[in-house]
Amino acid sequence: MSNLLEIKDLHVVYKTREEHVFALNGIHLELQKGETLGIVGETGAGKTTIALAVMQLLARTAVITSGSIQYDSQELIGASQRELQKVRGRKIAMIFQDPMTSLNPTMTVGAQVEEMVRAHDLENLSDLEIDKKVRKIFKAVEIHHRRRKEFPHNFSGGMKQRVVIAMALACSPELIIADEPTTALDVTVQSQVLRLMNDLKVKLNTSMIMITHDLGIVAKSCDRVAIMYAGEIVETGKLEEVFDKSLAHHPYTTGLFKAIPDLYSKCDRLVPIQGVASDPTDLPDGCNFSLRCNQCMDICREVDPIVNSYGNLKIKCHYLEQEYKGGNCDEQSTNRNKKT
Amino acid sequence: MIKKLNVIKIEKKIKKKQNPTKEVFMRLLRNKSAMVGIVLFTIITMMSLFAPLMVDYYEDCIEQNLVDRFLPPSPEHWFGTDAFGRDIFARILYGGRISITLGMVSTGISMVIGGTLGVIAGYYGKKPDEIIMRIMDSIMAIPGIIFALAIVAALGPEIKNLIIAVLVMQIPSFARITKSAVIGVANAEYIEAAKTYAASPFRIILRYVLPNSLGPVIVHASMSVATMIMAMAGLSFIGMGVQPPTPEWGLMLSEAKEYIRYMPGMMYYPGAAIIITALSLNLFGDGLRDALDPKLKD
Amino acid sequence: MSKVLIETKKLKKYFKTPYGKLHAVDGIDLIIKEGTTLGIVGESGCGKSTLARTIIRLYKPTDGQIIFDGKDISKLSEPQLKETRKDMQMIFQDPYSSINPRMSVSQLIAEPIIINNIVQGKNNINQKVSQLMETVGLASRLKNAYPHELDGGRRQRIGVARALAVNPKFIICDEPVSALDVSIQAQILNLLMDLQKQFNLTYMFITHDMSVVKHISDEIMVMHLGECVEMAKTEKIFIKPIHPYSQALLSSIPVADLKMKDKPEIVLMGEITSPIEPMPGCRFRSRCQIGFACPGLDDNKLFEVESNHFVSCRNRVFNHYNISKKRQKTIVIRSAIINGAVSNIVIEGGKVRLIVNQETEFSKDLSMFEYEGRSVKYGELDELGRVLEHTVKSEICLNEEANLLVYQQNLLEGVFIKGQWFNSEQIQYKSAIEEQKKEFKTSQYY
Repeated sequence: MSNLLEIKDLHVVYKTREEHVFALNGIHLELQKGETLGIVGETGAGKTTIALAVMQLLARTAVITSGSIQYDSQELIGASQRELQKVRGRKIAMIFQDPMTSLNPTMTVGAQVEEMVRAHDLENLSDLEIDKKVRKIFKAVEIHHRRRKEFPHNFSGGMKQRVVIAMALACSPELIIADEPTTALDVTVQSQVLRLMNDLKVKLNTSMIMITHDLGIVAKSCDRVAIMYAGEIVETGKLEEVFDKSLAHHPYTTGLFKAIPDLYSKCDRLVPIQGVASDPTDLPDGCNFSLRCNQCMDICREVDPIVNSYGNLKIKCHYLEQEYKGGNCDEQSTNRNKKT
Repeated sequence: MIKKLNVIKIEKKIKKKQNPTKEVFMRLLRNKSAMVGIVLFTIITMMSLFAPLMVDYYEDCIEQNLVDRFLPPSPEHWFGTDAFGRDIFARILYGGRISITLGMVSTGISMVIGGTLGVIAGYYGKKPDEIIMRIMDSIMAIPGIIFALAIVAALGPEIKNLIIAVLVMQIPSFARITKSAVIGVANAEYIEAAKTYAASPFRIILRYVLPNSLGPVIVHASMSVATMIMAMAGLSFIGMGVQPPTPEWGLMLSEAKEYIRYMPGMMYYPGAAIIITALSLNLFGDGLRDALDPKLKD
Repeated sequence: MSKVLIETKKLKKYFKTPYGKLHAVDGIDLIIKEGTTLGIVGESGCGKSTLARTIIRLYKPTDGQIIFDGKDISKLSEPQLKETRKDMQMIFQDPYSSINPRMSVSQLIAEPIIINNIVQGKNNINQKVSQLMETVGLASRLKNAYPHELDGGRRQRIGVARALAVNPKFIICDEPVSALDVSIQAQILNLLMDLQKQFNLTYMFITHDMSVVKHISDEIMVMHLGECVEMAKTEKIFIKPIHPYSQALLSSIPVADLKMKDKPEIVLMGEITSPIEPMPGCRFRSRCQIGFACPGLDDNKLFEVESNHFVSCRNRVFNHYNISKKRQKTIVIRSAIINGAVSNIVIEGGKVRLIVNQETEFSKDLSMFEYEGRSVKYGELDELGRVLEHTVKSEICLNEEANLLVYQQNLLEGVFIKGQWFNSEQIQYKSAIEEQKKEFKTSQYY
């Protein structure tokens, strides 16, 4: 089955007068129809840049220095505005991080959702039919349709985010990119919003890219996971495998899991990842994670590792390569890769 | 169709780490129009400053020489002579001394007074804010020039009264700008933090609020100098400012009215001087604003 | 037993808004002992930050008391507070906005030292700054760096160093790690815990992240819309949260563990009530998972259901007592030997029944309804001792501290406190009652 979205070797640099920020350094991603992919990474890893790159909404200072983004076999980089207009909203919709700023404060929420519907209306629906559609959408996100005449400032954070989701779903897109949709929300509201997103996703069979820094959210909603660090994807695989502690993982992945305080057991000290987040203007030679890695070897500081397959996991790491003697190919069974 | 994207090479460039004030300075230096403004203004100021070295006050500006009236520009009189035989270039230089000095002094004073009022209104809020802002409103309710005229008429057309008249016009706008800048900063968490370790309000204002809120005020100040210079030229033009025979650009314009036919230069040179000075200050102010908030330009 | 460092009594902070008074903090009682950490959990808008700022006197309390180290600081003026400010400090949430962007790292840390005259002289100040930087893990080469050059983790370390500069006893940490990445969070949390051990610090740790609070707190208080809904030792809250809000909060935390994927989750439906001029009654009723079964008319009052475990949901408190129903028989049998004590309570059908087994002077005035399922009469003896009958019904109710009071004809007969019965005469002797800081005030009940 061909991939819905395919990103190959994407490099993005933000060029300003004072500095060059190497935001993405060779991203390879695949997404199939109906699948939910989680992109996990901390601040500065480049997650939002990927989302904006797919939507071709990068800032003016961004330069795509190489790579390709193909949606449904259509190349998005370099496509004309007209072609992009057809894709944005109708085929790919985006949910931004901060619901407080992604709604227009001078328009009623109903008007904003309606605007979305009209913009992608292919059938030239009458006003009445559009109104019906808007009401249906509001019902789907569990907001009373009477509230569509109100302005965003009357809504709480959770409600605003639900309106944003409503707008994203207005045209039944094939792919939704959600950029940290619940980070700004309280944990109880977060549950509500995530549950809603999952329900709608199942009902409409939409594919989703869920960008987050919270592994807990990934556990609840994703099928596959990609772990990002400093503009690269260091590990990809199925959810069960990435979360399986008995398998070998990229040191960053292991570090992330260890650093989360465990709700269900008691321990005295947390295990942080040493060092500070990478500086995207000054990336080290060799592996980007070398400055913080416990398993750093000499070769890590000089040569950038290549992606190898370890069972179904794709990891780029010299240490693992050495440990499993360049574990590649599909010949090796997962048993062989389990840590003793 | 898969289009092949050319691979573009971009090299590393790391931002130099420096003091935030220095960074603003660096950004300003890079702004071409701002540099033009600064350079122009510096040239004008320098020339006015060193005027006594180039021309003699009494001989060239004041002493009338009815024989040499309306002379065209020549090596001896770079801009020619006016209706009374006085060297126009010399008068422009000396006029500059008066205009620029008055502009800067009045801006300085109104910045201090208006700024202090704005800081009190912004930092303490509530009652002090109400009182100060209503007083400012009542000053602003009177049209500027009329207010200035009234002061000059009441106190007499001396230079110091001129300064007072013009600067009172500007106090409310400084107060407002300072107040809004201070309000933006006064609720910041680092101000709260300072209160938790018992910093006095004076220290907080001096070391925490002012350094972080002076930006818009300085921008306004640079443009305010231009406004003051023009206001004074305007007052002198209608005869309520500097009195003849003191050279002053506005006054020179006024005097030139009658002799447009004979010596248009009498009008061009002071007019150009006013325009160039005001323009250079405005360019500098614009550049400063951009340097302080680079996000605006992007 | 360590002493109490900070205590609040019915602390309130209201703000004026065009729509009415905003009840940000509405009657909070808390106690923090020296060297311990109290974690305050709640969602945004529950008033935890306001509580922090009120305790540290950035705001003036609307009502109530704050007792710090034995001194009431709630009504002091700024000059009077100056000395106390050295003992309490705060670490702020946003490392990007809580430090002055125009000062270098060493200037920032030196500020509190200079203002409070901790040490004097340029050399001494520099030395102290270096010492503090080392304590919090900031490299000395960063002395002249400016905040915008540093990442969130390092900036937060500046905040910690600044708080430590005045040698405080008490530090309020207002969501100190919420704005940081997970890998850096762990670093800062470890640092805070180490510093607590090293300097015997007392913390009030505010956060919305339950996993973080579990790690660092000894006791936890759950806040909702300005009120405390549950307070207990950390393990208790996590093992057995009683208030419906605490239960919902705990169940909705996303856990990075696939085994927990299908654990039942309480999803709160409905919208939050407004903190502006709130209606009397339970503020959680619009979202509570108990729903229609509970009218939600009770105001916020904390009941001590178990030792040092306080809950403010009356519904749950009654249910909690009900749990002991299973142990009823054994207790009754055992208590027959205990003199002068009500042995158990049975809560059934909304009514409360006392089971008394006793034979002292006052007992004849007490009523007895049921004993093991049958009513008994005065004078009737069985193998377990004498039982009594009374014709006049007694009224029983719960007081603020979840103690059962028995009234007869509007006169207080006695109180049942945690398994012990005290009659009205005994109540007058306060010494008969020994509770941790819970003095039984008799005047309330007459």
